[in-house]
Amino acid sequence: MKPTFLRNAPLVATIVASLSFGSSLSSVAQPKDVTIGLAVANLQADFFNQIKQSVEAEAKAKGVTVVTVDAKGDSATQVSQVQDLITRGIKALIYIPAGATAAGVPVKAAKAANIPVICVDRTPPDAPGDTFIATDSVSAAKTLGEYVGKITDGKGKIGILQGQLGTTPEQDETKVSMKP
Amino acid sequence: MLPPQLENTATARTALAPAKAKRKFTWANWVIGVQGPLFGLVLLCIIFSCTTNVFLSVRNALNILDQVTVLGILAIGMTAVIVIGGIDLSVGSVLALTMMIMGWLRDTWDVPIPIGIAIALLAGTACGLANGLLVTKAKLPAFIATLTMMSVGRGLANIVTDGRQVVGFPDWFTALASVRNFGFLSVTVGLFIALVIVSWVFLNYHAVGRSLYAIGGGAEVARLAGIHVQRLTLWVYALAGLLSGVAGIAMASRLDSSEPSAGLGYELDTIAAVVIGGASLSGGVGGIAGTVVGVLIIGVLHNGLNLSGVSPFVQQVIIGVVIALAVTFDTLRRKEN
Repeated sequence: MKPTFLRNAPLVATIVASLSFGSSLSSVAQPKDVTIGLAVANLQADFFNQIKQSVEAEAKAKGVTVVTVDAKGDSATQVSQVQDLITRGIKALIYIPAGATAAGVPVKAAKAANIPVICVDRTPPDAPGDTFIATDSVSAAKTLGEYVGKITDGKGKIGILQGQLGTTPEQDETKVSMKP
Repeated sequence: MLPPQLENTATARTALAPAKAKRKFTWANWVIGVQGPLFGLVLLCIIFSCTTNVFLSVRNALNILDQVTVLGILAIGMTAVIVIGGIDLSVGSVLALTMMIMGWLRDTWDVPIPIGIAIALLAGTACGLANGLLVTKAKLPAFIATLTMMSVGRGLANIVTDGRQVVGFPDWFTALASVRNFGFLSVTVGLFIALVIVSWVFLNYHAVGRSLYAIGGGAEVARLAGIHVQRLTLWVYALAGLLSGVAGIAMASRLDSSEPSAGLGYELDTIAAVVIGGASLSGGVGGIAGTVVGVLIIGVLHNGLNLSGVSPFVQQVIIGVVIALAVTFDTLRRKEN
């Protein structure tokens, strides 16, 4: 039977390695510089991925630290992630809600911590952010619908591929497409 | 008594000894039992305290508890299922279904929330029972039986409100998850802790709880030893369904809404938490203490990586690697013993 020290050596080595790894990581970003949070709905969609890349590029140019969190489409995850961002001490939050309606909870939490919220692409109806940036889905859908009507002489059938149910663009676009 | 060739098997001994032999509880025994995963948890906490200076605070610890409550409640039910040698892939869907039923009843029919909760919990238990019946009567493998319930449950959750979300519960209901009484304990976290204590006592010291381990160790031997395997299996799956319902209610309180896409993929995290905690997927091994440590490891991982500002893609890799390491350490430690 190996002596206790030798048996524990791998464990001790792991601890030492992790501590040195940990302290090297700590130089990456401590919350004393300006940090903003970016809560993305789902990085699997290229649209959101591009938003993330642009935000990070712009932040790098301005010398601001961006912490990105990906909710993978789950509102509950996003609530926890925004909670963690607030603990970290972000100065502002760029928020792309993962599900339209649970979306109010992170905004309320950020407001309670005096953090300004900028909603992108989707906004919670009951707790809107301080700013809302999005493409105008209503007129986009109207233009598309009119174009389809023109090329099919008003007799075409449109199939609507609904994205995530209940989100702002989905509801707006469906609303408009339903008009004759 | 037993036929002679079965008398000496370990499962027979466990099965026959339930109420008479009282397991001696000492803190030493308890710590040794969760040693592997507990060590991993402490290590993670140490690493994260070094990478970010906001990790080690009371407020963050309370946040972590908040964040793992839903997963933890699911994991309690999953522990019982895995101990008897089964598996339950439907927990996420049943969670969504109960959330939607409660929200729909209130939104469309103005049913008071407590009654809505009771009906939703009944529905969750019914789903669990369905799982149990598929496993015991139709003799489907647990994986397949619960896989079908996962699909059916998700579909039903969407049908309830035609895919729409239900928003806006009364303040007293959301206060259950957000208000920290005495400065630190919200009702949902308190509920989780109470469930942990009750299930821990049940699995370790109650005759029926201990016989679950016998079933996991060998169902046929357990049956011959006089344990009602089929009946207990039904109860365990029904219980898992009920606890998924409780988790759904807790989540509705936390999110102030019900959505049909809730809980997608939660079954994987739940199973991971239970296995990290030392359970074996083939049954007969595992416990609530280990599961709680497993749940905390997952919660601490997510929280610490967010606080440290690690990129989401790198986070996914790290979480996978840590889970693999945690289970490997535990398996090696057990082989050494």
